[in-house]
Amino acid sequence: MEGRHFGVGPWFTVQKEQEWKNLGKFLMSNGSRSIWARLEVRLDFAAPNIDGIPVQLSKFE
Amino acid sequence: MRYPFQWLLFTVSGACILSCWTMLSADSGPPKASPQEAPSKATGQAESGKVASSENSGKFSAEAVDAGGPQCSAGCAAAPSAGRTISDTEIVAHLTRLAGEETGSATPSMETLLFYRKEVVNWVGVHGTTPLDEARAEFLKKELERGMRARVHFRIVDSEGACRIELEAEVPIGEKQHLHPAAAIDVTPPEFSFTVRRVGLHHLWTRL
Repeated sequence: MEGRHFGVGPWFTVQKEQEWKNLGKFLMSNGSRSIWARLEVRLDFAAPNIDGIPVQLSKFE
Repeated sequence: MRYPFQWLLFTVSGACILSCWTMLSADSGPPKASPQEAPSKATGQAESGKVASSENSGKFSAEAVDAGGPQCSAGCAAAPSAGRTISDTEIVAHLTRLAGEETGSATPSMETLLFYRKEVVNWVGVHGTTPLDEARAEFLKKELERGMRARVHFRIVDSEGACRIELEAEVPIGEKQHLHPAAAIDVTPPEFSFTVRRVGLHHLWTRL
């Protein structure tokens, strides 16, 4: 099985920052046993890295 | 000798088999160029066209991607989006509308400017934030900075409520990601393939 992979999805979600969202159930299997599982997603904005602010934003100053 | 013509029979049979094999080999070989497809010595167009086509097949070069060529399969979350961009005229129009709106509100103008963050940052870098006042310009700047990176948290929870797989990572917004969770409990750890985009003042979109 090396070199092969099987996908599940796709899932699409639009959600508010700092909120968890349940994207639904799916069946996971490793070939010998299977389990039902659900996918939960949380999306947040990361704190801006001061060093990473683009130079172009200097026009704001 | 019991069968006087047996050697003659074997010789003729062998010759037939050899000729058939030769003909089949010739048919299955590379096709020969017809007179219409033969390269013109004056231009060489037919030949160069064939070479370019065979070189491009199955390869994902940077030039091909820039030209809108294939990069990933259509089902891959990492495939570049072929979405539209925003024009300079539209940026000016949204900034003008934003100048008359309440600071910090999630208006269509604000969210459109944040959605096209890269183009807006480039435009503002050249032209500035006129006609925004100081407070609105500062707010827009902070939001454009905030729209650079996202923190994603994925959990795969079984039917009994146990978290089997967990992935938490900070990723750049708008760039495809292929990440592996650090640990998985009693299941084969999957790869998470996804892209995060900002679609509002407080909202994010992802496809995984």
